Amino acid sequence: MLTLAVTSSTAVVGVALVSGERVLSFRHLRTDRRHAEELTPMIRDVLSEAGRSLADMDRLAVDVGPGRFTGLRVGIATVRTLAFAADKPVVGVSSLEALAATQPGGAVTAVIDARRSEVFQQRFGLDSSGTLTPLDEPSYGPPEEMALAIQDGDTIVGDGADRYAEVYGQVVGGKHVVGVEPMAEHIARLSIARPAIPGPLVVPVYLRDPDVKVNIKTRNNS
Amino acid sequence: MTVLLAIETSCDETAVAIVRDGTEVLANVVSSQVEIHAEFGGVVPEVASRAHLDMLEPVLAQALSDAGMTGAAIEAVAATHGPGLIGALLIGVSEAKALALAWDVPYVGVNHMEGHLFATFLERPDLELPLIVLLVSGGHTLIVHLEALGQYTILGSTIDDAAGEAFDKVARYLGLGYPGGPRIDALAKEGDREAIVFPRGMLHDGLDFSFSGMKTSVINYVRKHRDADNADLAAGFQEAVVDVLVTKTMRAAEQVGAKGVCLGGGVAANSRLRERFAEEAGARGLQCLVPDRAFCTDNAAMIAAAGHWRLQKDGPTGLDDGASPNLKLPSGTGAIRR
Ligand SMILES: [Zn+2]
Repeated sequence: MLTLAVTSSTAVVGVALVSGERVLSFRHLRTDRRHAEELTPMIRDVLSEAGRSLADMDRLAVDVGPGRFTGLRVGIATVRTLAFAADKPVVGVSSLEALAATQPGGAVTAVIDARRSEVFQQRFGLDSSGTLTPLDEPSYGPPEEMALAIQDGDTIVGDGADRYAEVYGQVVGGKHVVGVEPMAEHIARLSIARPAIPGPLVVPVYLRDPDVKVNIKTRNNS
Repeated sequence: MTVLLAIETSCDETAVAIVRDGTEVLANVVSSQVEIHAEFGGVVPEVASRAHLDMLEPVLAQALSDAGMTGAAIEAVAATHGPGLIGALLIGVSEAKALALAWDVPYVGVNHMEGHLFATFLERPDLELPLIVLLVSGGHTLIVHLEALGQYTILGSTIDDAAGEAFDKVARYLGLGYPGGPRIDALAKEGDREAIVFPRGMLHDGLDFSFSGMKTSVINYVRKHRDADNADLAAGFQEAVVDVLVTKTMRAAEQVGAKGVCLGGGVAANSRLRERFAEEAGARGLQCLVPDRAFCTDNAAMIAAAGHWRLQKDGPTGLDDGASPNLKLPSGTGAIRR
């Protein structure tokens, strides 16, 4: 099964073309703010390097967050548009799962920077065959509070843990592994066991409500 | 012959159009978020971005279906890449680049303001240049000297609020709701536009605009006259704004010796502005275009028209194109005279 997978919900943009478990071609780039600029050329290059076209794909997979709102929308908009144009189904995969899947096994706490002094976080159990089991729900909050959920023996990964290393590096019994990023090949591998669905049904996992700043003064109540 | 599909997502309209050769509109789909933002009293950027993504496939599919086409018939794809809300722009840009990649056709990034200028030629490809175009919306108030296609000089702009913003703020103050322009327009029809005469900001002063003081004078008037009629207030305020807009546009036309005047932008849907604009242009013997309301407010047909021309002139934009929230209107060199 040929899967084209994309991640763009953190500071990295990644694209991978995966056949079954085998990565045929990939790009992985730390970009910070240039997700929209980098993603389409990376997809073009990954396809051409593998000598494949969009029409050859069985399905597309995309990181649906949580993460940076703008970055994850760029990924989802791009993948859903490709799916629309090439008439392909899509699988959405959580960024927190993709992070946890980078580890060899055991209990993993994935932590993604949510900005505004908050993080997105979820715990997983990972067996030796690479099967992920969520141990709690994805949630968000200040790192000091979120870190309380970590249990003895957890491996802690993600840019949220790296940013708040003074918190996550100090968790008793936890092991903070620095510099772990979500990768498109894990998005592809995690997508394999899941049903592919129509693109419009693949929606972002924002977790946090939009910021709404309005200052309404009217004749009657000002 | 080029069939171009264009996408516009710079603010609160999700729009896709399909246009042949920059002039023949085959589909023009606009999905407005105005009701989504009404409860906030203004466009909330993050809410707008979320709604653009929700509408991505329905609007795209509708445009293709209206044109009776599949993707195979599309020969180029355009998107607004600025100015506008960055998160919103990036939905359309990402979508357009993905379509260009999937369909293997050129992509072209379009300046939203240049789109508004080209809206004119969708209806009247015969207009003679040079023209003065008054672009008025919630985000911009500009007098543009259109010397040739691609060659624009901004002769006047607002030093504070945009005209549409002033309408929104006054409407909000009067408790008329959002969006303010249409509410004031409707209510003004029931009022007497001469009952309350508001000052005309900077009327005798060059080609720039100032609407902030006009808004304040409405507020001050209401504070002194608690029983003032909302319809008269709306009519008086609208008349003051329209008076300034029209007077300065005609002044600009005289100064540069323009052959005609055009109106564009969301505020160009205002009925009193349309009426006065046509009257004053007629009195001066100028060609005048007051576009169909569908081409005044944000739409993708105008982006297709501008994109078609840009593609001919500059060639495709790279797939590594992004979006610029503060993109300026291109002016200048190498323009082709019509
Ligand atoms: Zn506009």
